[in-house]
Amino acid sequence: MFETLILMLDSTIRVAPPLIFAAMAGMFCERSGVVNIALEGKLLAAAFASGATAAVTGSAWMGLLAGVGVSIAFALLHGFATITHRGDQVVSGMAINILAVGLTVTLGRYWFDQGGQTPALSGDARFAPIQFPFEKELADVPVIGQLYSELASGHSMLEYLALAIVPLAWWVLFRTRFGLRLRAVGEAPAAVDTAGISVVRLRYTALMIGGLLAGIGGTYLAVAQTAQFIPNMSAGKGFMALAALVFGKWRPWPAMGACLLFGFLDAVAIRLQGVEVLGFVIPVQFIEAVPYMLTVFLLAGFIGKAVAPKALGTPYVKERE
Amino acid sequence: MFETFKLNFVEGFGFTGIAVALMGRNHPIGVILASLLFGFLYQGGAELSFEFGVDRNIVVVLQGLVILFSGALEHMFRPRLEAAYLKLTHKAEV
Repeated sequence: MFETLILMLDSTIRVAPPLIFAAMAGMFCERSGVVNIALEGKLLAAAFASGATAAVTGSAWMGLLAGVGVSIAFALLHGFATITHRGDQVVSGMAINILAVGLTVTLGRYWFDQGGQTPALSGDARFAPIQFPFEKELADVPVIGQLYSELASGHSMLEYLALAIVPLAWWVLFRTRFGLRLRAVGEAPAAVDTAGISVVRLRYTALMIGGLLAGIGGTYLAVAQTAQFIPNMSAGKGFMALAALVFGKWRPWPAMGACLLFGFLDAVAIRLQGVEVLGFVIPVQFIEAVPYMLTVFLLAGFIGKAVAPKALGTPYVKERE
Repeated sequence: MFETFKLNFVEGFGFTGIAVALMGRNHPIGVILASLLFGFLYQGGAELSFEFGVDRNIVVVLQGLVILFSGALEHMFRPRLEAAYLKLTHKAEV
């Protein structure tokens, strides 16, 4: 029983990182007052860019660089449409999502000729699992041994980074001057402008931080979790991350909790496949649907009132005399 | 239409439907025009890939670009277009 729990927590940690990165990316954008439903597209585009680059150069780091670069480029496009030209933020996000779906498959087929996939990665082209010291020696110690060598050790760098990014995001948002201004610009941009701080610059910065984080999340999908890019591999994770963000009321720790919960449900779903209840095998499709049903259920009734940043979704128009 | 039900039958039509509604500016007539445009794109993409072996996913890229420029970047060209239009109509009056 304990071993099963450890295994499920282990797979939670493997599934959750893209959700956590995307949720933190969304948090920076939405706290600054820019709706970001383009997370899904950024994850997908970054996954493709990193998978393709890592396959061509044979280096996971180059892949990470390409993934982050493409994701930031999409973030800047989003900013150009919504901040500079004050376009509709939801429309812009949709456009980027659709663009990412089309571009990744088209370019993937054109460049690699494998039905949209990129070549499988191996060796240095992936982020290898990091083994903690004394892992082998401690494996036989009851409880602690399993916690240490099964759960804590043996993940790739990006998984540890995902867990480390949450306190960092909290510190930046709630303990620095930049974070205070960022939150203010999402609540009352006119006040921030009156104080002599550029609303446009702050929002662009927030979007670029979001692009960076979503880029790392996408890279994790293609270069660490799976060893190649597969068309539509983000599979709604960007939207799940948005749900987690609302779930966590736009706060880093609760949002991470929601991401881990979604990851855990995913692990449960995989674990429960083929399990018999009262002589019936539970259909796989039903179990795969459970996390989504639970999301709807929990979102509908159990999070209480989630209050969004006040200026969310409204472009800022400077008053002119 | 097909008198059968297939797995993943809608193929993202619902998703595209959001885009169509956005394109049509939430106006019934606009929606008809926008859905006609997207219908042309779908059918055109299928014909292109059948006749010339063009990747039909390029249609999705086109949809994205159409939404981006006509929806999200609507304010980019508007001032210049308005100025040009005013200039033209002004000349006609004189």
